[in-house]
Amino acid sequence: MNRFFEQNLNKLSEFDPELAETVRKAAVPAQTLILTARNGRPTLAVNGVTLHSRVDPEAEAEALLESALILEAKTKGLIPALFGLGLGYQALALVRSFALVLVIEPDPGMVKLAFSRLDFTQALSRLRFMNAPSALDQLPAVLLTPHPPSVRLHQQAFHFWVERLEARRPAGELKKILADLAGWEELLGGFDPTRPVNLPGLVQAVHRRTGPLSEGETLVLLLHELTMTEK
Amino acid sequence: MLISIDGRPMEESLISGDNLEDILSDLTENHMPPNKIVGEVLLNGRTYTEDLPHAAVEVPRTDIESLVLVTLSSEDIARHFLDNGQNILGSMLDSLPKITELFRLGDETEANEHYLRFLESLHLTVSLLEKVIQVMDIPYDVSIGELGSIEGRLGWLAEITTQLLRIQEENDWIYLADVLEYELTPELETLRDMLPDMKSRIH
Repeated sequence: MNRFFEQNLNKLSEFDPELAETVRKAAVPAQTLILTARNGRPTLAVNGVTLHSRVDPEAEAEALLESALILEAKTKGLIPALFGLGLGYQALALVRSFALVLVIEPDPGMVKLAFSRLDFTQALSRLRFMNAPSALDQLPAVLLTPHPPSVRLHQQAFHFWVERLEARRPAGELKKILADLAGWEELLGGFDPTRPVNLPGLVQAVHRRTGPLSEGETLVLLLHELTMTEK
Repeated sequence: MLISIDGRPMEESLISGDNLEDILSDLTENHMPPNKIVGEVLLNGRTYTEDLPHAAVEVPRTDIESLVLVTLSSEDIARHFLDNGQNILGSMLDSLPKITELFRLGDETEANEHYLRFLESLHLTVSLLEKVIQVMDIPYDVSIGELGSIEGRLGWLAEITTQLLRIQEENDWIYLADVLEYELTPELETLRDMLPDMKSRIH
């Protein structure tokens, strides 16, 4: 392990000693290959798939900040939940723009690898590692932000988190989705827009519903039907 | 069906093919005047261009009432390319940032759609460029300032495209984006910048 590892781990211990211990004991994933990018920075390939730019990984991560997904998070005041740490370039770029960044990394060995290569000490106060959806209970709305090559490595875990997060989109979000449908205010009257909607499947069902309501169809009836279907 | 090349009517029974692509292929391979290539196709009185590669397959022979081919000499085409090549390469270069962004953001389906269209354009452009050099007798190996020789540049471009195909087979999209952004883009820019000099060398 290089010099960053102990510094990063000590800092992580201040915020999450349990995770720090897990990371210390974890094994670096097999089939990982650390490469030197053209700009001299470390980059990574796993099972022959490149996880960060082989030329300038930091510039690539900075460019992510201009993506539609991140701009949506900024505009709506959502917390980005980065799925897939890799070596951490995206996470380190995100903490420069957000007060809090969640990181979902299914393999603690990957955190160990990242901690051994990059300096996270200044960023860890704004990074929070998630290991279960229940950890989101105390947080306001989040936006899942995938690191695409990491998603390929952990597709099952990614879909698990997508389902959990989708079902927890707040009423404020639901309001935007339903904005075009007559009667939405009546339905949402009973929801607190700052709290998660705990009706599993409802948001997904509304997502799948396209086009306006037909004549005689009321939103309340539609949602009743949808929630019944979802059950 | 009426078929003509440069105003010269063709005997329909001599032209084979069940669709427009096959018919055009037979015409260009077996019935074109020497040293000429197709400059314009008029299908049923209207200029025909393919919106997508091989779209002509979708036009059955029975839908063709008239097919008029207007040919150009290889020299005409070469001059046209040298006049417009910078714009052609410029358009291709403009499409690259979007493709690399899509690959980096994991939108592989859309990225691959744009990428395959780009590769087809690249292949056609390089083929045309090689034809231009041959037709206009432009020296392959003469160095153009700091840009190197055309031979060297086209050789390097061939290496990059081979590398792209290999990476694509491995579905290594981030690496593919790197090569598009950091290898192919500057190479195409160099090629674009060489065109005015190439044009000045024709007599």
